[in-house]
Amino acid sequence: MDPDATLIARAKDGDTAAFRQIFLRHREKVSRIVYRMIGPSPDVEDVVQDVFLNVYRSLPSFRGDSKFSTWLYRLATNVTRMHLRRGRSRPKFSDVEVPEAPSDDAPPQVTPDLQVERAERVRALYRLLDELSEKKREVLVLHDLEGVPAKEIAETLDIPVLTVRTRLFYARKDLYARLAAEPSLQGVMEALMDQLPGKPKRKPKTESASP
Amino acid sequence: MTEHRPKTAALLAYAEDVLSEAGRARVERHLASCAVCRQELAAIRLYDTLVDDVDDEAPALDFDRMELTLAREAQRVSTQMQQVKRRRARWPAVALAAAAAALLAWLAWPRPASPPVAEAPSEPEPTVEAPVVEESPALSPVVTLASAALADGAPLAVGAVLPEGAALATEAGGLAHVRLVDGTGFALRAESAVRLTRAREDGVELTLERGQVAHQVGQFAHQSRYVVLAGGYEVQVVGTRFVVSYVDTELGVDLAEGALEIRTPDGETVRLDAPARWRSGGGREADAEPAAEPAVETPWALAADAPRTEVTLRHPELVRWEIDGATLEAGAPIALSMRQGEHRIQGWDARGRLHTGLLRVGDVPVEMDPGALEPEAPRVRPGHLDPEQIAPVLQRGRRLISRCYETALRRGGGVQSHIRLRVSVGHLGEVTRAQVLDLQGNGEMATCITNYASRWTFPPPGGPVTFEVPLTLSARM
Repeated sequence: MDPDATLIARAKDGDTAAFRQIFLRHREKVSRIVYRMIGPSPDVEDVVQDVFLNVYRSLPSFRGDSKFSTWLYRLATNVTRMHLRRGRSRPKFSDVEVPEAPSDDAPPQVTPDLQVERAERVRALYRLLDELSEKKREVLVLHDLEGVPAKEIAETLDIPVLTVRTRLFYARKDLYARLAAEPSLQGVMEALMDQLPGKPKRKPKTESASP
Repeated sequence: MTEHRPKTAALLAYAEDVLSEAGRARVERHLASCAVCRQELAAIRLYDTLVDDVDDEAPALDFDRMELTLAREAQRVSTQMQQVKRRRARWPAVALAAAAAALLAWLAWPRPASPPVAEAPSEPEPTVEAPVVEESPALSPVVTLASAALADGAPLAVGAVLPEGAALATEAGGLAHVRLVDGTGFALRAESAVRLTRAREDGVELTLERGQVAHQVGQFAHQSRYVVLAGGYEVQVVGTRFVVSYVDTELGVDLAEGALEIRTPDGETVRLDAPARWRSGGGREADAEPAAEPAVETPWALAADAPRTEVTLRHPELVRWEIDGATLEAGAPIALSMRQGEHRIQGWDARGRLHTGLLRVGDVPVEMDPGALEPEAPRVRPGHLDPEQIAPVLQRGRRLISRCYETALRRGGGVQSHIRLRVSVGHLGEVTRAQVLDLQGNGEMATCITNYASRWTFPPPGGPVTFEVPLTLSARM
């Protein structure tokens, strides 16, 4: 049985501890979705809170026709969309220095260079995600970053599964083009291209390495 | 110069290693000479790495602070839920006294800037000694139309009088219309659920649990109050026609006539004047936007003026009905109370074909026989082709037809070089029949010609067309 089902039943009976459990179980996931959709804004916290306020208020109308997670993602995307559409000037990943991943408890960095590079790459990805349209960003975040299956995304966004797949395809295609054109990723792109089979004959690039 | 566009699907299949050996080899051969494709494949690989990189990352938020706010909300919601439970269990006992008092207080409030928040009752539950407020007379809400609808879990019957507290629900493609009093009622749309929490002369309260409900509200008593509750929102009405929808915590209000006041769970009040469309967005702010008059259907049989009889309309194919000027979208059988007399019934099937019939309603409940509705005869509209549309097709076709002539000549014997061809073309431009006229004694050549002619395609004429053309055949030997 869905472990959420018991919690929901208890919450519907007015058990406040069950409400808290629902929050504890899902806060990380909801925060990630919201963060990835709206960027590094101080509003993330408010939006996440709004999502859960809505969860609490709407629990009586949750009938268990769909999975709780689907219902929750739908709420999260709806609240996020409304937040975005309200047109507040939202900070973009490109405007803000993104702090590296919160890893307070992480051991001291053994290989700072790798960590920095990784953070740099992730920042670039977020910046590019931010340039995508809302529709494309939603499916990429839910499917590729959150691992939500296409069928569940279809229910979440209330669109056919085929549309999810098509949207996903074009979203990725769009992103590939942006990744290829992103200056900060040129180094890693070239390294990857060199590893590809059937390397075309190229003129030696020695001169391009020197200033 | 046109730029080569990489075939992303093929590159993805290559990256995911799902190609056959031959397929892989083909992609690799192409990669060797295609820089953009290499670049895209590298981007695909890079994206896969990045997705792994971000996997464990989550924003650092002050969850403790959030938890405090949420705990307060959980407390409020849980109290509300328990109140509803108690109210359902003991309606219309004394709990109502408190409710009525609160109601009066609310009505006396001119325009609440910060309306009172429903606080949890801290004192013990009221006992029988609680001040008795005279209860307003109950209304008798009547079901006037039902299709795939339930009341408290049982099929909804037309003519049934709903008790206070009744819960109505509709399935996909279902409908339920209720008359509260003369001129006031509501229409529950498909896949919706509403509870009639209060139905008194001084006020009606509907709790919309999910879906959409259209209302028509006349002034049914002095100072009467008509309220729709949904997920902490409160929509207060005076003389109006509107739809409230509550889907996934988003409240929507489409107002066609009159005025409404919406109180949000955060205590804000929004006033709407028709025509207007309002969506909560689930956030704290609300955006009101002007709109063209939204479509709000009038609930069935709002006027209790004439004797009515229950009628069941049933047809396996119809998805939309038009009865006495009202349009109903319902696939399931519809039960409704109809005036006695003769009615013209119209319906449309999924392909948009019209079915019509007459229905006589007497004082005995009727079930309409699907055979009583005659489908409109499928109209065959003749198509049209201009000579300029025909000529190029014949021009192209003549070369092949001439081969038939050449073959016949080679076989010897006298062969006609002037023939007449009759061609029938279907509505998409396909040749449905080709016939060689007045060609005597050469069956083989005629078959050869009709074989070629049946493969012709003309511009779509929009309906069947038949024409005759003379052709002069020549041999190029």
